[in-house]
Amino acid sequence: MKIEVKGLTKRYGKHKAIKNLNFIMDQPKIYGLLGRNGAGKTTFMDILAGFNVQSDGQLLINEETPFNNRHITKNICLIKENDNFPEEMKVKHIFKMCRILYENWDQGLVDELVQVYRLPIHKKLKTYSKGMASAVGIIVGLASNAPITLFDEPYIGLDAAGRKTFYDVLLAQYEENERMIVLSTHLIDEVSLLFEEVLILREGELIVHETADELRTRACRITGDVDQVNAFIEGKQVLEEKQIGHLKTVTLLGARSEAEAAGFEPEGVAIQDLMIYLTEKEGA
Amino acid sequence: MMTELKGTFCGLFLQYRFTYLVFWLILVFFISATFIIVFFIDGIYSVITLSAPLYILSIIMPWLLISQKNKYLTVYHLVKSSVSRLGVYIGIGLFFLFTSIINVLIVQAIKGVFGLIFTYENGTVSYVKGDSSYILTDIISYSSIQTSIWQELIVDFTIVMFLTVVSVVFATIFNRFGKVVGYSIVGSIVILFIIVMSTGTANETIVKTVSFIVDRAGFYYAYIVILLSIFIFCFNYIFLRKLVVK
Repeated sequence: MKIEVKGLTKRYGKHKAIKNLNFIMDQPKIYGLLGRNGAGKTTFMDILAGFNVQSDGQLLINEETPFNNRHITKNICLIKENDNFPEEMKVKHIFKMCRILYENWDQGLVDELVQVYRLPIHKKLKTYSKGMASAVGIIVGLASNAPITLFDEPYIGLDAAGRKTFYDVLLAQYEENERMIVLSTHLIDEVSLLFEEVLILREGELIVHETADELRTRACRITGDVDQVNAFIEGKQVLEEKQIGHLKTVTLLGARSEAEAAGFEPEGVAIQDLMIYLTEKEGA
Repeated sequence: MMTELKGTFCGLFLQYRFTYLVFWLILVFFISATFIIVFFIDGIYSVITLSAPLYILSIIMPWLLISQKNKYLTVYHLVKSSVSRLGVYIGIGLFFLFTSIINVLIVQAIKGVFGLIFTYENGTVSYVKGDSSYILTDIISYSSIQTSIWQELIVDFTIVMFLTVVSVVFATIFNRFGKVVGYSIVGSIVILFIIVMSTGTANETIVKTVSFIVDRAGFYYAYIVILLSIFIFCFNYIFLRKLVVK
């Protein structure tokens, strides 16, 4: 599947939720879609899944628009943080309906994950806890085997063990059946190692679209004597500065090799920290 | 398209079968309880129009299916499950068609069962005991003509379908465009109706038309109403095809 985004803009009244996005996603990879609250991640995913329609620009999947196009949407499964399924429906009925609607449905995986998450599937979704309801969404997302699977904060209320199971199954499934998985989350530290490519949105604009490896080496953190560090950072792009006594820690964009040459021992910066810096700083 | 229709129909059937079951159980309980009261207490005259509650249900159901706030399966959930708007629309149309047929058959079945026990004549079940009487009828029995079971089925089916379709239109307008637009349209229709009714000639024409329909309740009339329902239903897709899911 090839996703082409050309000048994509979505307006709600005078407010622009996403502004002139341009990029291509054409590889079966695990993509991280990151950004602060209100950055436009959910709006983008809604348009991608055909839930909503853009105000300007184009979003094409294999040269076709997804809105009201079953030919495309049958290949997409979007699981959001809540309200994916009717609360008054029994969970076994939700699975039964999805089994018909998703062509590559993996019932074996459903049965397995129902056991793992200990879900009473004969009960209605409204009787489930938040974590269990999230597990239902996760199961549908994984079992759909949709060539484009989108997870938008899918594990609200799910405990650490439940989330770990999700990551493990996601990876195992991905290895078995390579597909495009887009994961939007605020628990970046937990999942950053899964990402192969990262997109960061800030106030509706795409500010980063890089491979995760590139992004990890994009910034570094150095610590040293205040005067030495101040001299080194002169003219460089500083993301964050912290000083305790005579020791100063600075996070820099790029300049890793220069820091090594200058005698510092540069440390890597977690994607989560980088995302925070990039979405806070102007002109990043 | 077949997958979409199958999925939509399956989902709706699994979700709403219990709703229909509860509806019929309550109705059967009500008519049975009424009969028991008539049987034991003198001087009670009871007339139950069996299809009337069905008409009310056929108005309510589209509002359940086309609602953003409903916690039952709705068109919004179906779109979220990757079904196209057209697939959803045809799916709910088939679902309403299926449930309408089943429901009018149940009405006749109930009358048939009561008819085995009591007097059954011209579409009306009646039981008279002293000063008390118990009558189970349907809408067509109010006309003066002799009716067959087929005519009763057709009249009920067409009324149910027509009410459902009109309800689908209003439910779609209210959910898509909000209460202001919805009530404005309802208000306009009411005003138009009052104006038309206040005109003597129009009033007379409407009365004549209604009498014509009631007196000739047959296949011809059914075809017209069914075609009209299908036309309104298809036209309403204009409002639903750009449905946005949040």
